[in-house]
Amino acid sequence: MKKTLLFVYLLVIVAMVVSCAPAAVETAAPTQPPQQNAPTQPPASSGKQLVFATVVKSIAFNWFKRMETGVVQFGKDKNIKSFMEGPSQVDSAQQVQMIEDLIAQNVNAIVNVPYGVPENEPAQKKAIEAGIVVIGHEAATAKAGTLTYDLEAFDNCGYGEEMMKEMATRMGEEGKYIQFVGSLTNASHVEWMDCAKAYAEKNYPKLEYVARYESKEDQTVAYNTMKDVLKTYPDVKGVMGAAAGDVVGAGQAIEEAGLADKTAVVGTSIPSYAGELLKTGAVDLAMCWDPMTAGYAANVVALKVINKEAITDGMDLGVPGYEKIKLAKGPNGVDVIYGSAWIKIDAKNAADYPF
Amino acid sequence: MLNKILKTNEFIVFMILVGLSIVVGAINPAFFSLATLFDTLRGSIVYFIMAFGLLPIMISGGVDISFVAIAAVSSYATHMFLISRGYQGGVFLYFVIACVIGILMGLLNGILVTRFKLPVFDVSLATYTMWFGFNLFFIGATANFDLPKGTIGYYANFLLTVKDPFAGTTGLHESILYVIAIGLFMWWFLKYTTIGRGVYAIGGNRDVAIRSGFPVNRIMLIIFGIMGFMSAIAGVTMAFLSRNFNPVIFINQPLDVLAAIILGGAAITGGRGTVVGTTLGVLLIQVINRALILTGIPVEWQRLVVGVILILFTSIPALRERRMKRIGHTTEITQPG
Repeated sequence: MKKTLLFVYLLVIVAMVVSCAPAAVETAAPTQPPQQNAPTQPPASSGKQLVFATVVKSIAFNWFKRMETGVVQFGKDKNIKSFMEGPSQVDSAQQVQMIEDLIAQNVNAIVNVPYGVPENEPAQKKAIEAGIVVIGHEAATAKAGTLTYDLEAFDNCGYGEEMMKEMATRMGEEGKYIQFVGSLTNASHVEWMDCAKAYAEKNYPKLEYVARYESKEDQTVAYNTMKDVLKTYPDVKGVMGAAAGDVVGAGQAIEEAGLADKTAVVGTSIPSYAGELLKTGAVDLAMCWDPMTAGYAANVVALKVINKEAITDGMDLGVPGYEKIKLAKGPNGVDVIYGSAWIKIDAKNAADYPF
Repeated sequence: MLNKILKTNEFIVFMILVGLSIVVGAINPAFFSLATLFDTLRGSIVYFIMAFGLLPIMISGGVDISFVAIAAVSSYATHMFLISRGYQGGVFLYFVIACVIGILMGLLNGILVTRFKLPVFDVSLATYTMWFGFNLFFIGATANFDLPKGTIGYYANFLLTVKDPFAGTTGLHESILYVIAIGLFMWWFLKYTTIGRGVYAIGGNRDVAIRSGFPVNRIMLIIFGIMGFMSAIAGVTMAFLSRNFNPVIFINQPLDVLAAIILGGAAITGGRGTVVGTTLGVLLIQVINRALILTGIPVEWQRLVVGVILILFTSIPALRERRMKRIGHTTEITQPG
């Protein structure tokens, strides 16, 4: 009797799982079918068409779905067989396996967005030794020789300064401001904010830095912190956010306090997070980079290398945000190409960026 | 009578809370305002609910961390399901569905604990990991900000609003009423029902409880069901307050709730713990967290300061108990209230 009960109980749980799962698949369905498992055609030797593969951390994110549109568009524009693939969950081991498979297929170029930069290095090196052009993205810390080039949407310092300019303008270039970082150990976040602060000290003497807070990548922490900041420093007029949820949490607190018009909130975020608050004006500006143009530009670099065109400082890749690239050496020796491809999203253009 | 109250653990926690508030208020007068009170309560709401749900399990001698995963799965799965069906109504249906899921999930822990005689902590560690993994893999991996039309604005359903003397306005959110209702229920449940008395008996001495005729397994199932129910309410409430459903909500918070219950006088070994103490414990953790910003302590120092404060404050009741033992009292008599 008791066993039957237990069995029935487990059955109910399974039924719940099954009834939830399809719903989840429906909502998670991409706007266009993912192009994973691209047919393993014979490589370029059999035909004239070049084959470029883009490998990403995981195909399960809207972020990379957006990148895929750039990758596919590049293939159409340049008549190249260009496709994107990646594990269904972020996993370096599976990603490395995919690169190994692509080497075996002898593709012409691989664009890799590594989950773990060091874990992907040996496979990338092997691909280069096999004569394949390998372009990295979000991998500026890679070791020399493991990437032909790395392409970054922007350099961290420039991004932080741009964020400061946007906030300062909205504050009338005077008043107190605070900063949020996801964590004090997040190197990118801290670099954005350090550069923003240094830029303000040089250019906006009337801006006053109050403090930097850690949101622990948690929107609720940003919310609670902002509430207390408003009590402690009631005259704070500017807020900068580094993690995608920072301006959302801070914006909610400011909106609920009825201060949306008096406070400039500018920071990294994406429309699916900050869309509602951009509309109400609680968040003034969300900044990020568009994975679509990054995917496109990385493939352009691969094509230029294959066509034996030199990549030079200040050259135009023909992609928005990458019209005047900057060349530099990464911290571990890889050649890094920087664009200035940040995008600024406000209430008006939020609908143009569906991610 | 007064003497007895003065000696309770709750009173000591209360005094610590008052002392801390005076210190913070002296540094930043903004602390003493209705607005701060409302903000603190709003920040505590979900922790109150989760702590009340977890309290009976702590009293029975178990330590559970899976309640946060139950909150996450019950709220997120409910949301993704309703959204996929085009639901545009209010919050009530969310609570109903999530609570059913939450109770079933809590009962699963209970069945594993009672039928297979496994330690509560081991089971909860497994289900904590499993349910968060389940959420990410089967339901969805990203926070969802698309709320049904009928629920938009729920975050601003204030019972009353006050002008913050320093900046803007603050409201007292209606979900504080759930907290009061749940708190009163738990107080009644633990103090006046046979099952509630049984929870203390199990925590005091399980074998004695069995021999005294308490239906131990049934009691355990009931309190796990209660835990699942409360976790689901906390998950849905939090999601609507922060205006998004997150598959890993509370993933880093189980220790905050456990710390609050222990600060409130519950023994980790079971047999002791009260609703009043837990309430004070939750408030104390909230005030400690907020104090750091209100007093302007640099963020780099925050973690160190929180740790030091926790050591100081948790040691006070323990020191007191040692002193009592020296005087001659063996230990406090189990006295819920």
